[in-house]
Amino acid sequence: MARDDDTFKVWVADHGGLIARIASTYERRPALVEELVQDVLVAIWRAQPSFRGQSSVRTFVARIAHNVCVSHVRRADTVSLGPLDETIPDHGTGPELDVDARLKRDKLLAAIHALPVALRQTMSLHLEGFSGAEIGEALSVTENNVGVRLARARATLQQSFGGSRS
Amino acid sequence: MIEDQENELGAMWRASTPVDVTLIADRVRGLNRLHRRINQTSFVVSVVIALLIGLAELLGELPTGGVLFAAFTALIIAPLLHHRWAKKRLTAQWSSEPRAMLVFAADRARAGLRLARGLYAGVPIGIIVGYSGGAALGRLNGVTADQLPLWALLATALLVAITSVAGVRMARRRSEDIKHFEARIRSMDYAV
Repeated sequence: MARDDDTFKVWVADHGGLIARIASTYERRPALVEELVQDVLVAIWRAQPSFRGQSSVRTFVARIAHNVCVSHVRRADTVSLGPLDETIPDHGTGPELDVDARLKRDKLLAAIHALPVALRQTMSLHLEGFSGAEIGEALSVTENNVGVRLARARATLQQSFGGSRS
Repeated sequence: MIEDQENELGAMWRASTPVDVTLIADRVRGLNRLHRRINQTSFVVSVVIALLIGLAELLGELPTGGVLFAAFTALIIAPLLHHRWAKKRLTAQWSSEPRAMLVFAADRARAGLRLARGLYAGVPIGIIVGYSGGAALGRLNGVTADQLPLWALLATALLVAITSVAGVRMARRRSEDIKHFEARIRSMDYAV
């Protein structure tokens, strides 16, 4: 597949949210999330010709996003697990997302940040609605392995949420 | 019950968009275009310079017999080919397995560390060895080297200072990168 501006635009329109959410699980500060999203988009633009249609575009984009994030994240933001930056803007929802839901989402993001990389990747894709097979394809692991990772991630998240996930 | 909670969390998760990706994509497309134009302009300028050198050698204005033209052309083509090769390799890695990507990134950081060591240690040692070797060779042949002028000493000291500072900074960053990538590989291995 050749590099094509229109296809790139469609990919961004369809999967922009996915890219931003994946980046937000690796970086805390909004400016760094933006920077990371930019790196991911550059990588997708460059990798576009290597897309052969063997997987879905969503899986292809998720795989590149994780690979770029996993190698580009800044050390200081990933090592410490302090409180989540409450100033993270949300361009997708606006006022309709009430305070309670926002707090829940921030708590969820903080808990995901606290997971080891592999569990974080698996859980974020699971929350995106990827099936076990799709997660396995995006992360190059077996479906069984995805199951194991998800079970561990759930257990850790449950601990983070103090035994209750609500 | 757990499934319901996960569905609720998943819906909440998917409803959020932490940054405006469309705006960033526009910026990326603009940067790509600018990058392409800069590359094309640099290439055209380099080709024109190479042709002028070749013409000057052909007309006998430069007594280098084609050597300068060949060296200049090689200096343009070699980095260009290396850059294309490295970009292709990196692009292939982006769509490969995440752990392999990290191993690749750690290897690149190690190569960077070697280069940095070359800058802060190799350059001063190379200058000292080169100068001492040249002087020793001259003495063997009965030639006494003139005292180096002050400007040459200062220029060499400045060069050594710049390469050393750049090398030390680069080495520190690459060492951090290596530690960071290795920690991430361990984190992935732990979770598998």
